[in-house]
Amino acid sequence: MTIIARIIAILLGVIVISKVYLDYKKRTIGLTVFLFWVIAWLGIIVLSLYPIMIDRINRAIGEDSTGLTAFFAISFVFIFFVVYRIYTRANRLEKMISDMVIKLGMRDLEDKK
Amino acid sequence: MKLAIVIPAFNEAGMIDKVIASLPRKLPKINEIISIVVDDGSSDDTYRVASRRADYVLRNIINMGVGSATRLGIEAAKKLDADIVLTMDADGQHSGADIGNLIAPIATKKADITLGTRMLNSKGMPFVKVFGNWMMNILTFLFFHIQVTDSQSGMKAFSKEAINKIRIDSISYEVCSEIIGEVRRHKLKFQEVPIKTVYTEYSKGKGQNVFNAADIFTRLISLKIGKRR
Repeated sequence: MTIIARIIAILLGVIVISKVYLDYKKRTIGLTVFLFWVIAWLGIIVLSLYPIMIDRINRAIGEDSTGLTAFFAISFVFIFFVVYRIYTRANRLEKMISDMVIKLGMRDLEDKK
Repeated sequence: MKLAIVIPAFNEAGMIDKVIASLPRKLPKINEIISIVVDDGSSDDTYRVASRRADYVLRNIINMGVGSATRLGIEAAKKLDADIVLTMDADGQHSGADIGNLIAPIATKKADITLGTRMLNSKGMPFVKVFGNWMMNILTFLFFHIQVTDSQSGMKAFSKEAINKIRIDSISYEVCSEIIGEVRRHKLKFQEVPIKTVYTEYSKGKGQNVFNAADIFTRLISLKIGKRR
């Protein structure tokens, strides 16, 4: 189960980074957004490849290490992915609607002039 | 010089006429004063009432937020070739008598942007608003590294050069903080000008409240990350 989640997390990471790279090339997102998502997803890929790191961190801060930790960590990936999609889409849509509404408002001005 | 007064309004049918009537007709160094009301998708009679007295009334077909309405008003002022643009609230809390003081530093080229500040004389301002403003000033400083006394004031004036430089992406209340960020980004000269605030039971119930702070905070993060440079 955990190994499947890890593989899916890695695949999702690669897909998201490719998509973010294409968005950056098309200039639909800026450098800051590009770097933010690349770093976040690279982190997730690294944790999926080496989940032992989570246990090491746990031990370092004095917590008991359990197999469940890695499972919850990978599960977090999916939540993160959903939040990422909702966040980018909602932002893009809100901006597009605002631009459209402003364009329509400006058309009124042209009519009045 | 031509002055455009931009008034974003949402459901202000009961107040907008008074606000437009309070605008000055003559000001030193100003040849022409035009009023632009932006009805931000009101469900009441704001558009019809404003149309009786304002020079231009534009409409957001749906309610987007004060940021979007302000942007539309500023775009219109640009198109109408205004030399100075002033924004003010539609709920009657700003006094038309302060407009002259706000635009004077711009007309004399001493500032690119002036911010009307209610905090240098906050007498009469409800405590919750004083506290909210104080919190927002800290937040604005953390995001944009500019210290101001009233980051959330809706009364501001801009020179033609300033409106051509600044870019507003905000949709809602975060617009006030974003404009301060733009001052820093473009190294514009700014001045704070004390203004009177007319706090009536009506205006106290309008505008931002302390619960907007969380929304503004998340929107500022999104704005800070998303702003393409």
